[in-house]
Amino acid sequence: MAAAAAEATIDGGGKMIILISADGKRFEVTEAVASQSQLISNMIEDDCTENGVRLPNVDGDILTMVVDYCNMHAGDAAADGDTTKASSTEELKKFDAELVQALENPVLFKLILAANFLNIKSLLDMTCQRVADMMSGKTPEQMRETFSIENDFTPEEEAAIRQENAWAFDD
Amino acid sequence: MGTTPQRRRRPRSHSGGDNSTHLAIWGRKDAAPIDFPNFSMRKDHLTLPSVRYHLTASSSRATMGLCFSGSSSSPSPPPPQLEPLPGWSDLPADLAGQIVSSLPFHHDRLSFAAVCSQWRLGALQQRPLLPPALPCLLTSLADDGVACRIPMSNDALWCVSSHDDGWLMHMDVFKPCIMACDNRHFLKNSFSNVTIDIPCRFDRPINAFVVDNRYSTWPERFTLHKIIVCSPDLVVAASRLIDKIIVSFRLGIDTSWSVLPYDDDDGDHKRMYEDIALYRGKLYALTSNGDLLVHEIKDNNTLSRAELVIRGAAAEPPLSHL
Repeated sequence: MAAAAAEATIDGGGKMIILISADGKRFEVTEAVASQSQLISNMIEDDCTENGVRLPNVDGDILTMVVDYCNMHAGDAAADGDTTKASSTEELKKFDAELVQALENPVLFKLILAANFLNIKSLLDMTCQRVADMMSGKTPEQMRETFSIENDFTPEEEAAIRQENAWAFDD
Repeated sequence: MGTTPQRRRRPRSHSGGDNSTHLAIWGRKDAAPIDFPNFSMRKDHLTLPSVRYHLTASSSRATMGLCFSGSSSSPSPPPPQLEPLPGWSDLPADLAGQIVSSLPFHHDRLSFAAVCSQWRLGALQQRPLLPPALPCLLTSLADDGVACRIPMSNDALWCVSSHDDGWLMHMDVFKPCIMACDNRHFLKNSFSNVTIDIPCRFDRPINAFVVDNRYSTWPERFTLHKIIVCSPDLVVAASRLIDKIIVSFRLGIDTSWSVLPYDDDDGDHKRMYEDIALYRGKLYALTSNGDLLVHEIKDNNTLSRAELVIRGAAAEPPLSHL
């Protein structure tokens, strides 16, 4: 991670932004990398990143993944001409596929929350899609098992669901 | 919301289904919107050959989506240990909504909304914004779920609707013809590529639609809303012309659809058939007043007279008889 951040320092150009995770880990990234977060992008515009950006909702481990992702995807937003920096589409696909495949509970959950909080649309889309893929073809009961969720419906709610999906709940 | 201990309930145990549970699906048909795929999500039911229902595809030349959904399809490992706080049941509603939007199939979306109250909230909030679910056909279900699309490569073929077991009904629209009835109609199996030519005439006049040829239907009114290929020898369909009827057609023998008598055993009220399904070798039919009937398939591939299985609750006669 540190290496990735350092690399960004060399060729990123522009200001560096310091991100501080909930557990106090510091990440130094270029504006281009950080701006993929709409939240931080807005803060940069408003000039409130001077003393580092504190992210009390995001653990260091998760922020590491987010920063890796943003570093990798910084090329997306950069101008087409900068071929040395922009990761090739192929590389990006591979990176995303590996990242998404490795995601499991509860990291996946935290990463979704982080992507949502930081407002990084592509990461949020990707992680939500991963969850959707994990659910595909499962019954509600199997979904609960996969995601360690308890059935908390009241009898009234359950009755409403049964009525709505009469064909699906027949036990 | 909904997390106080007294509200928590143990997950339901899934006991095995029996015949009556399937019949209940029929009886509750009015509970689901018209485009709901009427199938059970439970694997033990799905594997029964007869509870495959169809979801009518739109009549476009667009690609068709097919869903082979298996209930144990996820590649994900078994659930890890319980998270202390927060957990998936605390997923913010807007994120739950986004996940629902990423589920292409209707039954997955319904399942999602039935997991817990927080997810349900998200799913319900998202419902008006959801992209259309993929049309799908249920096929025999493998353990590994696979979804694929079937390109409709031949522009001359108009896919009219989709039916059980991968059968799509086509109409050859570019063939010169005088009446829609002269078009070639056929079923094509999306998996085996087998085609079955089907007639578009009936063996008796169909209610109001009598033109110069009394055995024809009105042009462009050849509508079979559900077709079941019961066996290599017998195709049964439900039609929704003015009367809602069941018709059958024996391959290689019949040149027109045989209309099933719809007034036997039912006084002077004509039966209006709403839906049909094949279950354990028998054809079940639901009428508009909620009766569930069963027709045996006889050795000569004709259908027996209806026997009442369940008397419908609806006392009012169908609208057309008022």
